Amino acid sequence: METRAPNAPSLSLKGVSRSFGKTVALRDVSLEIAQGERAALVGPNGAGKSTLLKIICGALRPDSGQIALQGLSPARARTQAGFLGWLPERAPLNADLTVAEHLRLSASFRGLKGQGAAAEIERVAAALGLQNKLARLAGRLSLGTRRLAALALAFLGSPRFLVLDEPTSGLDPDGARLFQKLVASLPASSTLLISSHVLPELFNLTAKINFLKNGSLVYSGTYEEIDRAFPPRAGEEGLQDAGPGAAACAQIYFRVLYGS
Amino acid sequence: MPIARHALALARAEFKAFWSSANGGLALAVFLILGGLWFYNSVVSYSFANLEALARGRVLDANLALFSASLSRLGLIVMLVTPLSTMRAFASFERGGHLDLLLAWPLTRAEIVLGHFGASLGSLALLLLLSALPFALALAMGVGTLKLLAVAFLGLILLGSAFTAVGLAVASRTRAPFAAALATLGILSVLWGAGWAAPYLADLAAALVQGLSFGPRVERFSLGLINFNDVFYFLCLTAMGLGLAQPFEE
Repeated sequence: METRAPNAPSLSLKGVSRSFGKTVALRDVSLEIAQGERAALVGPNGAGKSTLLKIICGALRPDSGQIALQGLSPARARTQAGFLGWLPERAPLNADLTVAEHLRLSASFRGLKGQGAAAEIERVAAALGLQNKLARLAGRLSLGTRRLAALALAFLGSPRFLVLDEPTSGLDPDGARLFQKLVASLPASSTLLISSHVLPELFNLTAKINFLKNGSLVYSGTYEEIDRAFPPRAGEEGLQDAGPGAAACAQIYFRVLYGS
Repeated sequence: MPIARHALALARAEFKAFWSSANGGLALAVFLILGGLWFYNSVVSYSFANLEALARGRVLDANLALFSASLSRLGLIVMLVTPLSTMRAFASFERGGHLDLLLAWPLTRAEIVLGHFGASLGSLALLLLLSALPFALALAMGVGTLKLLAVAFLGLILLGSAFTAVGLAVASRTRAPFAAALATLGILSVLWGAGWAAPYLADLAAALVQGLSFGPRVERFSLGLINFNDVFYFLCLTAMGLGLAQPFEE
């Protein structure tokens, strides 16, 4: 029987590949994220980010390669209560259930009971400004509120490993601020992997960034490492004011990923 | 046991969601309208046939001519309604399902499949309970027996259980809800009527299609007969359907 290895990296990918028919979604991706690390995954649309996150969360199987979440296979890690919190790309909710029903169900699946479950639901709902939306059917929520509700499901019970696919897509500035506050309140031991197109948000929330292009990991490192590897070009100096790595990330983003 | 607890919690949520959706209303309408019409038709047919029989000095058995005929037809309605409750079970969010949501929860394949199975079977049991009303009235008027009604409904539940499991297996392979509904209906129709092809087939093939056919088994239940082979057949089909339901790549 598989058991969690406390000292193992939170996530370890070795040579992961996946194709859909003739389309290669991921090729030979290797990546490691230490426990408590906050990492970002960026890349153009169709780069394979969501496929990679689905594989990490045990919703898809790779064609080849090895994956371990603290020593466990994704299928095993996915079913461990309180281990994995996942926000899928489309923020899926059951249109015919209320936000509160979703949260109660999620709490019960994560092993939260009674007063503890109620307190945790209240905490997450308050953190994301959902207190007045709890009785609403998910099918009647706006896109932004639906994403907040899906975020609440992912954060419920403060899972040890959080995987968020475009968490702020469709959120208004206030929603994005609440989300950032919630991430900041996570325990230091929680590991975070965020896929997003919003670079400034990633600078604030993560310490390491991974660039995916055409299914391949083209660069991976901390913002400081990126700064050293990609000194700003003429006209890009101002970007450094956005924080360490900002100019370099912008360079990689446009120069490496888009070839401009 | 977490598996039973999780499956039950999911079944309750899916049951509630089904009855809040348009598919729930449609299933209820199909069940009550068709069930009511067929029951009415059985009553009228029985009345005329009984008048003719009386003229010849005989009395028709109401159990057979009214009760059993109507109960047997309910099986066909179960077949029409099953795809409605299983078609979206494993569809992605973009296709009106919520498999992605289920995958974001710490649920195993067995919990997801059993949760959906419980919800669909619970919905079917509720529909059957509502459709039992005319039979209960007939029973109060002295037509039929409680044993006949109970055995027939046991048969219908077993039939529904097998149908639901087959529907879930198909839904997990097709993903597109409409295709899942059509494929489920197609497979169930073939299994229902397979026995009709028996006279045109060689001995072994004829025995095989007769063995696979739902129709004669439902009829036996609607006559108040509990046959161990029929119960075993429906339970096996249920187990096979649930085993084949693979909602995601593990």
